[in-house]
Amino acid sequence: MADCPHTIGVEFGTRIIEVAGQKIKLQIWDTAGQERFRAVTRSYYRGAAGALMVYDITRRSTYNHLSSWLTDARNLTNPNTVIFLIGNKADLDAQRDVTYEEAKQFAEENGLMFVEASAKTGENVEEAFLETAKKIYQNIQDGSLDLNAAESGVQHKPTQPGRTNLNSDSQPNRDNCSC
Amino acid sequence: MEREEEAKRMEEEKEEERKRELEKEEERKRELDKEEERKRELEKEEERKSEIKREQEKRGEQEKNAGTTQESETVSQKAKPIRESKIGMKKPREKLGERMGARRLGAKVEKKPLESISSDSFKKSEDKMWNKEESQTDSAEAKQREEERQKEEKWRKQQQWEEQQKRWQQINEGEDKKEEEDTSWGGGWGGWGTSLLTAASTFTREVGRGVGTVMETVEGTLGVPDPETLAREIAERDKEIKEKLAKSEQSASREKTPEGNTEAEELESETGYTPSNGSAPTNQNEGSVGYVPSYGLGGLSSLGSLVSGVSGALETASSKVLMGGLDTLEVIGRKAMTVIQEGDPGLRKKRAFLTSSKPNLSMILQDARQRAAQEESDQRDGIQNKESGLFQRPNFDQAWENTEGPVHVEALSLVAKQCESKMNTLLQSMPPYLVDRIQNSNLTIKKTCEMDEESQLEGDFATQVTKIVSQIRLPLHSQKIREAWAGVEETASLIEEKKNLDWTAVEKEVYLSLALLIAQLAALTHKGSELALITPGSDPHAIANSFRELSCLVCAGMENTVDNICGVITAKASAADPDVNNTITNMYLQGASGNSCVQEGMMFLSSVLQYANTKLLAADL
Repeated sequence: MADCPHTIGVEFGTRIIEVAGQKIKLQIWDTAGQERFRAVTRSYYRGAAGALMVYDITRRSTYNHLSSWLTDARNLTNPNTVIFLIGNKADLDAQRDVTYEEAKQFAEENGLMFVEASAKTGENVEEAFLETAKKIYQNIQDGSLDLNAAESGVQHKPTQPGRTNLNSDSQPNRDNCSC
Repeated sequence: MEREEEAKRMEEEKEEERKRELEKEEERKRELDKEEERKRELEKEEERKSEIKREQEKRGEQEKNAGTTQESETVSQKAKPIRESKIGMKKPREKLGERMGARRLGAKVEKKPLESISSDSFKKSEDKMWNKEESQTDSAEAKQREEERQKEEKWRKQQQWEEQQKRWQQINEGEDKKEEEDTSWGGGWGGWGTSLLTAASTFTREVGRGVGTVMETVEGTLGVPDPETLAREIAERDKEIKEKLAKSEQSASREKTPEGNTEAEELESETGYTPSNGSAPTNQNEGSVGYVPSYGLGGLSSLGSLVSGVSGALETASSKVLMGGLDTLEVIGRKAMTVIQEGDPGLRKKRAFLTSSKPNLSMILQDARQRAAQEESDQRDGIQNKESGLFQRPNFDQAWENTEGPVHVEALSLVAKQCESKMNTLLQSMPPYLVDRIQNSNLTIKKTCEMDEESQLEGDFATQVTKIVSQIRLPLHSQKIREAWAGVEETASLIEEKKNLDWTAVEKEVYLSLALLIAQLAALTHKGSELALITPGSDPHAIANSFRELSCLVCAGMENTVDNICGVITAKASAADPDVNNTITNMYLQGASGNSCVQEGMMFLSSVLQYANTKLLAADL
């Protein structure tokens, strides 16, 4: 992973998926994990409809940092923001430093969705984004996320029909970028 | 002899005393008669007044009127008739208290301030008993009178029961509700329970403050007569019925009624015993509670009857209140309907508005999906047969939305907003002279980023971009923007080569390539802003200047491209084609909106650089 360049500030990616028969355009904001960008990346939480918080299951330090990322995410987003915890590098089970059960418990205690995934093999990556989008869509349907609110992070675009932009802040810690 | 004489004298004295007592009583009766007369007069007056009031819809006028009523009541002083208390039904408490005070001043019977219902009734009955005992030892006639009184009491109880029955009939007629047992506590409180909600609406300020406020608002906006007037109306109606019944009752109970009444009123107004301690229930008491304390033989029995009397009174009062509330609602409803129907008979427009104009989310999404599918197929068709030109005139914004540009601008705007608020906080903590210095410095940055003048493209775009980006001492790369420019040039040359041109397709291609170019500039500006913030030793002024140069270069390149393509179109198009002018006009127009995208980015960059500059200058101090 040494050849993978650090994220500067934030990188973007888009993906159009379908949830409940609706075309949804996911606007994914991949924010920098480096501490020096923290001041800048804090600006980007605002208006996020969902957040994917990624740690490395082979490095305990990334897991230990989760609570500080979570604090930021909770403080800087609206209460209905869906937060998904992802344990990356699930393919390196032999070098595992954080157990599934431990992380699962942490997720439950903090009301997060949780899955272990692998950016390398692509295992559960699609599912994580899809589940997040579904949850956001569900929030819109049951009214807990107001589309008209300025900071909902979700736009309904009549000019670009059927597309909903979701700002999904994913915060890869250090080397966890989806290369 | 002397003894005999003395006895005679004693007897004479007794006789005299008795005479005096009789006289007194007669006087009292006369006074009572007068009182009643005055009462009736006042009642009539009140009726007249309330009739006038009914006609007045504005609140202010009503209040004034109520004031005059109040005045006349106060003037009448002790003669204030018992039933008059109804009139104050919805009055604020002070007013009621005032009136009561005035009345009490005029009343002949001794009165004591009452603390609570129980102590009150006990006190009163004790008084009575003491009086009775005295009179019993004095004469046998007193006993006779006592017997008479008891008879009277019985008769009056009968009357009262009948009266209540009548009232209940009324209620049942109006409400179609059956609430029997009007003498027991349970019945009384039951009645209260059911009518509490409606009671709240009429006991505006006292009990149902929330509901009251709503009522007031509704009244204020719709011009509905306020609860006071309404209640007064109801009270009037009730009074009419009760008057007939009470006439005989009044004459029969002349002796004690005033005392009883005032007592009852004191009870209601001062003890705050009932939740409805406005004035609504007071009028009940003259019938039901009024006589109780005075005629009761012992403390306990009087308390018992008082309790039943009060509960009955409350029940009737609450039912009246209930009816009043319903009346108010009806009036509001009618008024609302008339207001709604104004200028829209049959409510056709409103109905149409309510039923059709509010689509739900799923409908919007469904509709949008259909349109998306439509557009997609249109686009495919458009690509397949470029000559067909079936789709609408393309614009720059549409192309812009399909690039990464908007999201970069959005991200940049988030950073800029945060920087603005941070800068303001920072400046607030600084002495004014430093703030001035910093703001002057910031102003230079702001002006640099405004890019007011137009520039011409001179020399090679790619070389200049490389040069400018390297000037910015930040780890930025010019490769992507150079590639985007290459795309623009390619598009322009393709248009030049083609023979048969479809204007719409040409426009689309041009806008997309230009949007991609500007998106790259936006990305560069965004990254530059982020890096300027976190890179120690970066010079905000230099960065501002470099980005201004870069932006001007891109804008000039864009303008140059549009000029060239328009020239090609003019050269190639036949003069007969009416769409040529439209195409050219639109192209320049869309070029301008590309320009404004660049300017937007520069504006946000300015905010970020100003904060960086402020931080830098603040650190120097």
